[in-house]
Amino acid sequence: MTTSSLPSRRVHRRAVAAVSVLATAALLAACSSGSGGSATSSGAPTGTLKFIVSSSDASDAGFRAVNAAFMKKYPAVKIQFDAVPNANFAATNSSRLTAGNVDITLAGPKALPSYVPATAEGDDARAAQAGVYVDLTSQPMMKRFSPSVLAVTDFKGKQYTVPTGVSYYSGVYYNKDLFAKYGLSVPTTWDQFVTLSNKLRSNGVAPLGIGGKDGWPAGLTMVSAVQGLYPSAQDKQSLDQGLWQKKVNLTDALPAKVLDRVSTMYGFAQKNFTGVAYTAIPAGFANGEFAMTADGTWNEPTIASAVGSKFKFGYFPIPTGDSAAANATLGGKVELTLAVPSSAKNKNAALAYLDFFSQPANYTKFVTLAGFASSEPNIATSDFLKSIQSYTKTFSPAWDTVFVSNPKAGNAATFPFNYVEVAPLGSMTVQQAAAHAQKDWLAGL
Amino acid sequence: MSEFYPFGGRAGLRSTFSLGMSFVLVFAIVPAVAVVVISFTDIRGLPYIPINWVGIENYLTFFSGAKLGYNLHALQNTLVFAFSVTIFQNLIALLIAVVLSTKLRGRTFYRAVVFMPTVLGVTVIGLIWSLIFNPSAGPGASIWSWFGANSAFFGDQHIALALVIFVQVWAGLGLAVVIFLAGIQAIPEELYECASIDGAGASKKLRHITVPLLAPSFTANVLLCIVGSLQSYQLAYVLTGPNNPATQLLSLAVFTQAFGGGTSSGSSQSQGYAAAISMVQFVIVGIISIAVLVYLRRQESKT
Amino acid sequence: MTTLTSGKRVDSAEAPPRPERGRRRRRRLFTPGKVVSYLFVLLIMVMYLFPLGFLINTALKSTTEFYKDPVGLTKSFQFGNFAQAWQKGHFGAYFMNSVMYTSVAATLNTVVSLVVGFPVSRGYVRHRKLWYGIFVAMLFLPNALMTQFQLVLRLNLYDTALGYILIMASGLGVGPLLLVGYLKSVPKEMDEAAALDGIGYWRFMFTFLPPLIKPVLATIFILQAIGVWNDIILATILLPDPAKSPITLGLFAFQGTYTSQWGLLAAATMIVAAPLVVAYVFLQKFLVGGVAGSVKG
Repeated sequence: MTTSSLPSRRVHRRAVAAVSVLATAALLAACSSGSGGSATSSGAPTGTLKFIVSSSDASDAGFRAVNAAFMKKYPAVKIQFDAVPNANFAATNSSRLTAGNVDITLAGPKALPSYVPATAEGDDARAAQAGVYVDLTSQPMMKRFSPSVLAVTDFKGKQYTVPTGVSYYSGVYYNKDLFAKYGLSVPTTWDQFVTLSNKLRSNGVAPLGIGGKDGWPAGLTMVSAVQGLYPSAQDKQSLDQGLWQKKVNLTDALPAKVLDRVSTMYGFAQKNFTGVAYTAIPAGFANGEFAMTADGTWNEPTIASAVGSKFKFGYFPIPTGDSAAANATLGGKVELTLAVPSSAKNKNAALAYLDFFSQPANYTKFVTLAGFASSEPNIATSDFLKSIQSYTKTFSPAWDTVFVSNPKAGNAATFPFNYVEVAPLGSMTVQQAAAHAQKDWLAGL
Repeated sequence: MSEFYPFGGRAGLRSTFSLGMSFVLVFAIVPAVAVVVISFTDIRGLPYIPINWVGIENYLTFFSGAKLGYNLHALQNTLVFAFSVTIFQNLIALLIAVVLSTKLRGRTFYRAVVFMPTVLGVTVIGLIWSLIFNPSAGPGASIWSWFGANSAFFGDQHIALALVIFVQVWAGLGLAVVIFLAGIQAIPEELYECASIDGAGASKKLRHITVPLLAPSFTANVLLCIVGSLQSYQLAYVLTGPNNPATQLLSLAVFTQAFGGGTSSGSSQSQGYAAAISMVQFVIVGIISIAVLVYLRRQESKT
Repeated sequence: MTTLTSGKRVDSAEAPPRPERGRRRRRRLFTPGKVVSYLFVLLIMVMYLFPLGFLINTALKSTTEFYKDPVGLTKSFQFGNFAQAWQKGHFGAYFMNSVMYTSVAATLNTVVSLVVGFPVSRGYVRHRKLWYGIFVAMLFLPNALMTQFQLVLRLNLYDTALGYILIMASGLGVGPLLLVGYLKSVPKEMDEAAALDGIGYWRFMFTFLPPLIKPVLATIFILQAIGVWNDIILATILLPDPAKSPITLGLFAFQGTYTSQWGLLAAATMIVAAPLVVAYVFLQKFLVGGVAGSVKG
């Protein structure tokens, strides 16, 4: 009994093992077949609508308002809205998409320029090509958006996403009262900016507030630096191409100047900014701990509520260029672009929602609460956005939306300006950081 | 060759054993083996993207000129973290256990207090210490200012890892203390009394009785601690986030590569590459564990 | 034994010529050794009790008061922070989730450890060395986040408590090894005696054996419970539905949303920590004893 049963157990175990491996392989294979979806909306929406975005106080409030209105209009629909903290968003998105557990999510497919090899293609672009997202090009609601914005979100002639707005982020909020107190006016050249900051510092006020603990807020200084030194979209495009074709080095004069500007701005930042979280910045600004803060226009509602009626504040582009002309525009990006996965279980409701969202009445509600600039024409804008209209007349894409990152390159060349390693965020001097970035960049080409 | 089985029918044995092992096989071993498999592909985090075999390309990328510096840095952090935590935690725990084994008043209370963080959980501990080490204002900042300094604490490149190690040691001391205390209390009183009669002072007792008799459980504890802390990342994740280069650990890198990516640039989740990192970490953990085990066993047989 | 100790007392009464430094058995309270010990213990107590005290203190402050004076004692006892945190944080639900996941996963894990460890330690299955080798290898398994996610997904267990629990329970860790080690002290004759009494394998393993090996079972349970209780990454990946989040994730998300409102955050942390501390006060003898007991054995 004992001897005859054991071989069969061994066989049993081997069989289990073999089946498991085969199953894994089969499932991996199944993974690679795609199913694109064409969009058809049929009848009134019903059921549950699963909706995820990355969380930010202002935009969350905006979506919630539209959700409430939508559910009022279509009582048969229940919206399950999850505002996922930024840090967890990519993981949540990936797992929910894979599970077919989401009807509306964020996506940003970007077409590759001709000089970039296919290996650098982003996941969203690959996904779009594989049909992961529903093609929205022929949807009537897309006509409501500004052609200039749609030109930015276009992917190989098709529209896969709905642009919920535009944000600008190469500037600073500034405390008008503090500026008036020290007789300062909005600077239009780099020298003016430096003088102004020095004056603030000598009076015991930290000139600039940066939320360095989260990393990317410090990167906003880098984006501003590029905006001033490479003002037009064409300049940035050429820089990107030059880097990819090895015609431009990160250690050349102008690229190195970017990091130089960043380093100077770090010098103007508040004490120990590398340990301050981004979400602590509005409170700090409201308390007068610093006179300016590098932030995006998306954060205006939060800053406004923190500041309240304590003082008036404004926004201007950081004049990192040498001439006033170079510093005349704010760099921006298209915000939170919503996509419908092909694997969505409730496409009908998803499309109905997006249509509802883009209707001017609802969209105005959203944009007012979210603090975005409008991606539709003829929408009433807030006073704040009106105040920066001179800088935003023509849309200038910010550097990080133009640059194509090389996944093969070393980490120092991610942006590729190596603001992360410049002291005190990192431990290198500007030259060292630039050289390290150049080395890592070349290693990936 | 199995030994004599006294229970008669083997149905019970076979069913429970194979059920248990199958469970472990399916949920733990198969995924672990599958990690090896996918490390040879370019599988991404989003579904339906075509998957291709790429051979050892992911491993080459890991060791490539572009990535090696960063990866070595993460490896260095992981090793520093693991060894520091292990050494400090076990030595301090041993010390505390020795002190608590003497006839102090209220030692049950002290033991309970030291063990408490184990119960609190990583998020609570992370929040408490983030609060204490708040750079703008807090006890940490106050203490630093006594020395005329100020610091960004978890944002400061140079001390972030040290602070994470500190918190990890703080959190893990309790368990180690309890284990050592039990071990010490298992040493028969007579040995100490004989030693006293022979004129041994406390330090001699420590060296010749406590330490040698505690050696086996010390070894076990140290080994488990190293293996555990080479793979631990929950605390670093809560205290400094997954993307902080100063506290980048290999396990955290696996998570970032597999499930990370910025929202503005879209997902960038190279799970094949993450699997390769996972395998490299596995090999390193294996080598180090075996080395430590051999070393400690040798020490044990010496005493 | 008694003669020795009583002999000792006689010795000390006669003030022997030996040095007194660090003699533990002395009745005097203030030997240098004792003083050092108490000071050391005091330091440790401060290190452990201060953070909790600071947390409570901060929870009772309003955010503005915190910014003005972060270290001082609270002047306004803002109990409102607690109410607000409770309302906004849904901590009750997260807590119950964590308790459920931890208890079920740790129990399952312990049972599996027993079921696979017992036969291997006794040699009732062939290829004992192979199984033992697998147990050791399980300590070093590579980080399998992505593949475990795919597995749970394919089994349609994504976003389910069951899927999460199964994954958390499968990380056997040191369980089987501890069990095998401990079982060496339970003689095989027990098995044979029970068999002779007509007790079958199942009955023996599930009803007779556990009382004999309580300490090691308790240790395995506790170690695994700690692991599940502290998990945040697998919960992020496998449980997207916020209603199913364990407390680690719930508190982390709360922190993400309210980062700079320290008063609120501290109150939230206290809400999570307080029941744990209370439960701990009652359970600590059991917990600590369980771990200690298995070491002794």
